[in-house]
Amino acid sequence: MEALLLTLDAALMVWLLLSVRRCENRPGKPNLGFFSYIEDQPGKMQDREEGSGHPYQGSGPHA
Amino acid sequence: MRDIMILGMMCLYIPLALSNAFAAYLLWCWTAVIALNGYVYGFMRSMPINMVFALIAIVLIFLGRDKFRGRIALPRTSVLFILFAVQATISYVFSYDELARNTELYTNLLKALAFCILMPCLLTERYRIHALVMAITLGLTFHGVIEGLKSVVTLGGHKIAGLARFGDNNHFAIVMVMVIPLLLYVYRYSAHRLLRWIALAGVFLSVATVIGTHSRGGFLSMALMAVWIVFNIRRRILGAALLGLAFLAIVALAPSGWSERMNSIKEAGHDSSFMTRVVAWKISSEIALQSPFTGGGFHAVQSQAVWDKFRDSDGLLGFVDTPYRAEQAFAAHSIYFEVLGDLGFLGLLIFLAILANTFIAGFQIRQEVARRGPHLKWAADLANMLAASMIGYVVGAAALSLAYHEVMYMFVMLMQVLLLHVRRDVIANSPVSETQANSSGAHA
Repeated sequence: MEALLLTLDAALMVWLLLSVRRCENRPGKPNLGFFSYIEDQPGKMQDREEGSGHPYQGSGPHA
Repeated sequence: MRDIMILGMMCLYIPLALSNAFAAYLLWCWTAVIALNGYVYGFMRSMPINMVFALIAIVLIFLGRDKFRGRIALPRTSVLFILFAVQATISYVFSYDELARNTELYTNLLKALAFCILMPCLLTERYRIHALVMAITLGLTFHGVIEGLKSVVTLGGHKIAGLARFGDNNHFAIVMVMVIPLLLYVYRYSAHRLLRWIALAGVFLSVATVIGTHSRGGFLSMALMAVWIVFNIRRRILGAALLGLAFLAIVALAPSGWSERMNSIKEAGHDSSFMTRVVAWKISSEIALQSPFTGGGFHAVQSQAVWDKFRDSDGLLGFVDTPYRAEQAFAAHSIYFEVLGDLGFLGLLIFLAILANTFIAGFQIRQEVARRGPHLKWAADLANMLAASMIGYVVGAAALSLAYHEVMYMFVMLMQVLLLHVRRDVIANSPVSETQANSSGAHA
């Protein structure tokens, strides 16, 4: 079980690294894919708190 | 088999690390907290996996192989870390002779501080902060998932002994308590539904791990950490109700041995284990009184020669009666007395400043977010969660020797990075900078 979970964790880490690399190399808004985060936006807080979160669409290094 | 698997993983990781300083930095972090060497038994056990990524990251950072790197800055926390490193070096040099772990703890502390001091120049964007949080949680939760599953499957029969990387069951419990708030943050802010469920499962198994360690300090710090979170969320009543339900579930489902162990908290004054700790605190404070500016060196109190020298001293705790004096040297069993004995009063002062600085930074983040509006609410929530982790640490580790654990320093610096990020946002979106941007646009 340990080996299986270790492999899973290691695979998630590779996925995270690839997501970061893709995010930094691709012009446009930062998008971490599977690891993306919800952004708080003015006027949208209440929606998010009610559970209708939306993927990150904010400004970043490429914006 | 595992060795070959990890070797294969290294073949994947090294090219990724070489391609980008930030990727190497994430791997430096992840390999530090997951401690791969502890899960292999062959030729990879002695491989300095963590050091490989640390070296790659440092070389790439100084070669400028990171297009989003910020300038090398020295915020408040970095200054405190540098002062702490200087004090640690002085204590290391002027330590008592033949301290078993003097060099090991000193070098580990310097490595942890070096990792953290580089953090502000790499974590320049929100996605990078998020990626580092993910790397920390992926690394730490792995231990919680493994041990938590064993506890759940055996219905509490599996007593967790701890991990070589973190220490005994009590140390392990505190580290698990510290990761729970970060998992809650990941649960709350992950866009992908599956990742949210994974984070929630991680929370559940980390709690099961803390219970499975049978650590009284771990349970106490988890309880206080949970209370802190409930007091700092918007839906306090719902949070308090969920916390109450969780507590009832733990009491109902935990094995009888665990309940007996927790009940013994009330009898700490008569508990020989606790009273031996008081003796260790007396000796640690006596070491500091003898060497107020240098301390005795790393884990001096655990040296039998030092213990014998000060065995009958009361240090700063003469008002506590300890009729029983242990013959064998004993660990300090408190981060505060540990630093006091090891690094002297000056070291303790810097250490306390580091801890206090974290909560001050958290308060400043919440203030800035309150002024700037809800688009930075995530930063306030992450600050709250980091503060909750630190509450777990300052309470739980008050009876443990865990002062030099790298996870704590990572969380402290993460709070500082968050503050810098919020302030950058404030400057970038201030009316003055908007006016400047407009005027420069008009002249362009």
